[in-house]
Amino acid sequence: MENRKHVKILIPIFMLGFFIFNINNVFAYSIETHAYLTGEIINFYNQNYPSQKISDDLRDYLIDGSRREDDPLRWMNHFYDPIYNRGLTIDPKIFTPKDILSVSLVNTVNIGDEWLSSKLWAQDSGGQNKVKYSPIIATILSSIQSKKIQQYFSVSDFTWQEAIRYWVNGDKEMAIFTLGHILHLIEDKTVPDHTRNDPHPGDSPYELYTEQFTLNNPDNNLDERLKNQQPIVLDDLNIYFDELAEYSNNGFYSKDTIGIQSGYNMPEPDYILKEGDYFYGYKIDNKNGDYKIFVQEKQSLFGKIIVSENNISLLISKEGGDKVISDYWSRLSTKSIQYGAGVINLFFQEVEKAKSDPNFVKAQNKSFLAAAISAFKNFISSGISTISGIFPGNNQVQPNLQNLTSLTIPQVQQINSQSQNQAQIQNQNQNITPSINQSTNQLSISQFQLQLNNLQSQLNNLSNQAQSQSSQQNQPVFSNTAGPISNILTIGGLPAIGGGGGARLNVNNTNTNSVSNSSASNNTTEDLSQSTDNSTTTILTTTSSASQTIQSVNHIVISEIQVEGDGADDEFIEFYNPTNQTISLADFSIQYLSGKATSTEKIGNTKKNFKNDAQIAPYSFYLLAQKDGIFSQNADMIYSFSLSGNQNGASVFLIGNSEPISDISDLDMVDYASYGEVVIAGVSTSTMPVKGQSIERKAYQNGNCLSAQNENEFLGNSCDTDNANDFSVKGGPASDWEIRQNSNPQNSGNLPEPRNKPTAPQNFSIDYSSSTLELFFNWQEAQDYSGSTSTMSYKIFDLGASSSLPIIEAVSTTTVNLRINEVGRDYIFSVKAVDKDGLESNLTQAEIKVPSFIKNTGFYRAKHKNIYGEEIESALIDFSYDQYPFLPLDLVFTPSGIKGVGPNYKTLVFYFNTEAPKRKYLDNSMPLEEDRDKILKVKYDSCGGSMSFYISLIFPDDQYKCSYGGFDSSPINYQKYLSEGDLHMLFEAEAASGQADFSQSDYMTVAFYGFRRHFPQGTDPKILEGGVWSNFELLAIDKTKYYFGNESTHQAPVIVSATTTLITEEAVISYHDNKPYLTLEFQATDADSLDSLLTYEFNYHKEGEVLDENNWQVANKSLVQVNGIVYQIEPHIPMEESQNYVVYFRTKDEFGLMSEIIALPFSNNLNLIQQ
Amino acid sequence: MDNINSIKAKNKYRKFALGFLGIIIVTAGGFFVWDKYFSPSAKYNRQLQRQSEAYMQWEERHKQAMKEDTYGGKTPEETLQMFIDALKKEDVELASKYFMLDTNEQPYNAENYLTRKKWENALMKTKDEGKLIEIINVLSKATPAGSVTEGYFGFEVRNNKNELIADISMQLNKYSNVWKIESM
Repeated sequence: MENRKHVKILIPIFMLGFFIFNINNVFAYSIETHAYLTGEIINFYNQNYPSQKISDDLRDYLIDGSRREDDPLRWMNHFYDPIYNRGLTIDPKIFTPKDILSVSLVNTVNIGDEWLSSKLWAQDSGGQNKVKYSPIIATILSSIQSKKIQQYFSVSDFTWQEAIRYWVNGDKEMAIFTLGHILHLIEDKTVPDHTRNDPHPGDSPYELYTEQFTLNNPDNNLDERLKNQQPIVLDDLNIYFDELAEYSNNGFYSKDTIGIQSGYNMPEPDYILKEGDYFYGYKIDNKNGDYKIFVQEKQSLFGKIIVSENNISLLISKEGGDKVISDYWSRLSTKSIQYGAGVINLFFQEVEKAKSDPNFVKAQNKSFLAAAISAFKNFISSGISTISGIFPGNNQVQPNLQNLTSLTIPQVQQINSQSQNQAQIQNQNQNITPSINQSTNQLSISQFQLQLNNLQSQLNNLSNQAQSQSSQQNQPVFSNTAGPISNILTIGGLPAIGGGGGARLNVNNTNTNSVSNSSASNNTTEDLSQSTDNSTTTILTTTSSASQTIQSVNHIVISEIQVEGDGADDEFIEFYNPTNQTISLADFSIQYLSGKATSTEKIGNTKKNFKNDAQIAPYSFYLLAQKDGIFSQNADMIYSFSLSGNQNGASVFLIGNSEPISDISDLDMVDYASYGEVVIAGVSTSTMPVKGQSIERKAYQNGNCLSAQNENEFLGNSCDTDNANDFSVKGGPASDWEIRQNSNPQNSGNLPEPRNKPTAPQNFSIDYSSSTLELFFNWQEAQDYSGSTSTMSYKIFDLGASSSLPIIEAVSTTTVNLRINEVGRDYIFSVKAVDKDGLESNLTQAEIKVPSFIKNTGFYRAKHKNIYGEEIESALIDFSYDQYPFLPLDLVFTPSGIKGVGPNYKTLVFYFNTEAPKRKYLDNSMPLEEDRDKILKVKYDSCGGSMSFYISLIFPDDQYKCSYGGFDSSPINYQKYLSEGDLHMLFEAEAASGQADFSQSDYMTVAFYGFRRHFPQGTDPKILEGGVWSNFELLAIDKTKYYFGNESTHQAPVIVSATTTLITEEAVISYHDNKPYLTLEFQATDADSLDSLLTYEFNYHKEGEVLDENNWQVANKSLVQVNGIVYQIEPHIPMEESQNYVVYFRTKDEFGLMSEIIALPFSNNLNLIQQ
Repeated sequence: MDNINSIKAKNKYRKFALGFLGIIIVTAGGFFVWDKYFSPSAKYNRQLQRQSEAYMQWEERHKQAMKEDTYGGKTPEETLQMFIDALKKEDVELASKYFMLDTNEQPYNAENYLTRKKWENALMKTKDEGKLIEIINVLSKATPAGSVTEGYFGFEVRNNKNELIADISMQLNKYSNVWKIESM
């Protein structure tokens, strides 16, 4: 690489200066947080791998390496979005505003897709060497430590393979320092911003929050979280990047990528819970506990238009507002440690491999001259490549490849050796889908170039192989290395099934003796990866990656097999077409081989040829079932042999013709599946499914095989890792398969997989009817992937419920109603559209507030006047309502046969320090036995005249349901409590135990029940199991916690009339010293107090004097009858001659709240005085 | 003859050497030019340079906008009070300036990037509806709710039942060192 050193100065000095002053801009974790995480990784690794510890001598190098990866410009390559397989990509609309940048720059710079993903960056020596990076981050190494690596101070290449090389060469300090750079990249994958393409300059809540964790200020809970956790052990560095990036991308948001408008479908909350003031979206995590993924704040003061549609965020800017972010950190930091420790372990494994691989060291020890020659060769070969049309018509790769969803590179059509025995490399077009930026449809030039380099190397390699074959008298070469060549290049194939059946090299060989096991045909198929060619091995090692070891197949596969269902004949074989072409099965056959068979000799007896019109549409299925089997899906074709019989295992072969196979190396074998105990050699057998189970081929996505169940249910079944490993035996390793607990046969009528989700239902709205306790949902119909609306069904979820199951499932209409049994809460519902086969859309959310039946509810202690007028202090429950009865009439029973017309009874039960349980029935009018120690008793005067504490509060719907005798005597006294129409209730309360001293942590909840017995006429209350009388049935509960001390707002009484009357009759004034007097009469009312509890007071003074506050007197009314006429003698004010007065009136309720004072002037009538 | 032959041989050798040297020079020169200007590596580096410059300008634009955003107080309380005062004067243009610039760089938000359009529109709408007084009333009851981490601060408004009515999130603009309203 020395020959390219001069290009390192291309970045102007001023650029470095700029970055030096902007060092915090796009970091993930802060430098010191990286140091902390790396330190923890070392600890965790050392605990789990005591025999290969990172010694104390090396510890600082690893930590410092992880810090220094953030040196200027390197950080731009620290992003990896596994969904779109891209590095940092900023939309040109944001990145290159035309008013700022020069026109030429805008026109020439392909801004959107240039930075390497960290996954590639970690292994791209070329990329790291191309630019000279400026070390500006201060080292933590001592001068003695620094000296040990000072010879490498100018190095810019801190790749994975360099770390290995340093170690192999004995430079352990530099190796570990370089490995620290890799750990940095791994740690960054636990920053959602860095896996969700969110550049977030300086405003990432997650990064700002995590800055607090450093070596000096560790997270004290981390050790606890790591208990019982293990390092994640994987085979390949790429898988570490993929898995970790997918974990943080799929499970967490970044600040600017909340919601599907950001281009990511995940994460979605599994449920929503209200905690304190906020709703939180939760993800279910059965292993480590559920965690919050967002907080839903109150609606903005300005309505919905301000922030996000649902006002969702990750952090609330106030004390305690970090619950979501702290949940993020607790998961992501733990993963960072587990994966980091795994990477160190992998590093030492790779070191051991490299030590035993002479090519590894040799390849790195090229002299300058060798490097120069190599570069020159590249130059020459590049020119030749251009001339010979390897990339016809496009000898310069342009970064702007518009409107691409995948890039197809036409490859070498034929490379001829000079030998008569030619190696024909028949190429298919190769898809390099992962490197395409799906959001911009632009190919990363750097990624493209990397792949191009790989391809170039492989082409050279293939050419070498061909020449090698030629020179070795046409012997095919075999390799023991599973490499990517066959995965990257799809070569040859099975014409009968529309393309290459994996990676095959068809050697058109005229010397049939040269190839063992050759068929009669001259076309033999051999395994490229079986080559022992050293040069091949070297290239394979350097280009190996997780995404390259598996690729989607381009032939029909056996996708699911059931050998026994409810009945012994319930067996089926399902096929899947993972290609975009319809494939005919006309010449195909399915062949069965018992597990006990040692050869395929008798396979002709258990063979079934496909029908001539049998075919499978792209990405679709075909179902073959036993003729007597019963399934949820109709079979496309039946067969008559048995897949199980008395055997404990078998193999099923899909053959490209109708001839029984002679052995399991049959060249026409398209695919096979093997399960249970299988004797015949050479097959890879999976677990034997038991009754009702099936074995199912896994799904394939982004270079990985995934379980085809749960969230991957609709990804198809195209995991087939046999491509690289074995050409002669199709079907692949058992790891391609998994057990499915409940089989799921799919036939040609099923929808293709994978496919687009249905569109989310729009205009989702909810209305509420308090009279029927029903919610009415309405939404617009959605479309499935094909635009069809007729086959859609819908599910509705209560996001506030603890269960994640839908509350309404599989309705085909766009309106539906739901009877609810909880009031006093905000409901958040979501609706999802579901296509014919069960693929769900994104959710659409709506919310509605359902008020409780009671309001202004209080639970507190206060001095007050009880119903008998006694001044006491006690615990109280009070509440108001809008009208009486405040519960819906006869919702649970219709004595008249017509809802809403029958007066009856209602019952309230107050629960103490527990959520009101949803009991279908009360026991008569009482809470169930098991609940009676959890209730609050209320004291009231019943219709029967008994003042006592009751364990439930019964209301008569009207006065006629309140009398003495029978059930009518149990409700509260209608006359006393309800006749005034106050719309308010107040009761003394005590716990079931008699406790009446409550604290602020005590609370109550309420349940509402309606009468269901035909009373009083009815005589048939149903006695349920356990002797419970089902008189009252649940209407709803109110789970609101009404805490003790929360006193209701009370209204003051209002004086509605006040009059004064002068009494002069002699027969009457004798009661007051025979002097005329003034009687007062006034009336007050109180909206939330019984008027009988009001206290009336009066005051007065002579005209010209002032009111004496100490002179208020209680106005007790007193009447006398004189000569048959009733006179009022109290309250009275004695009159003095010719004196004018001012009289004052006021009223006080049971809590001492005063009415306004009414003042009435009274002019003494002289004439009357004279009488 | 020998001399002539010797001279001829020397000339021949010289010509050959010069020719060979010429081929070497031309080849090396070609290689140098190709490597510097036409090789994928050279193109990549030029591309990287442009990329970096473009990125720098983008960041510079971001930083400059933040620096110029000087509306606000030295404390969260100051900024909130300034905002309320502006609302009382019904000066929604001024009031909107107390909000943080929108820094969401995602493509779907491109038209709002480094603007306050959302807030400006909302304030204008609220004013048109005659509801500014309601906002003022709510904000006047705001009480400090502490900080979740450095650079953040919150206010909240609760009713007499201690139920949360509103949150006001504040954020320090580190470039201009004034507190801005992040959301409310």
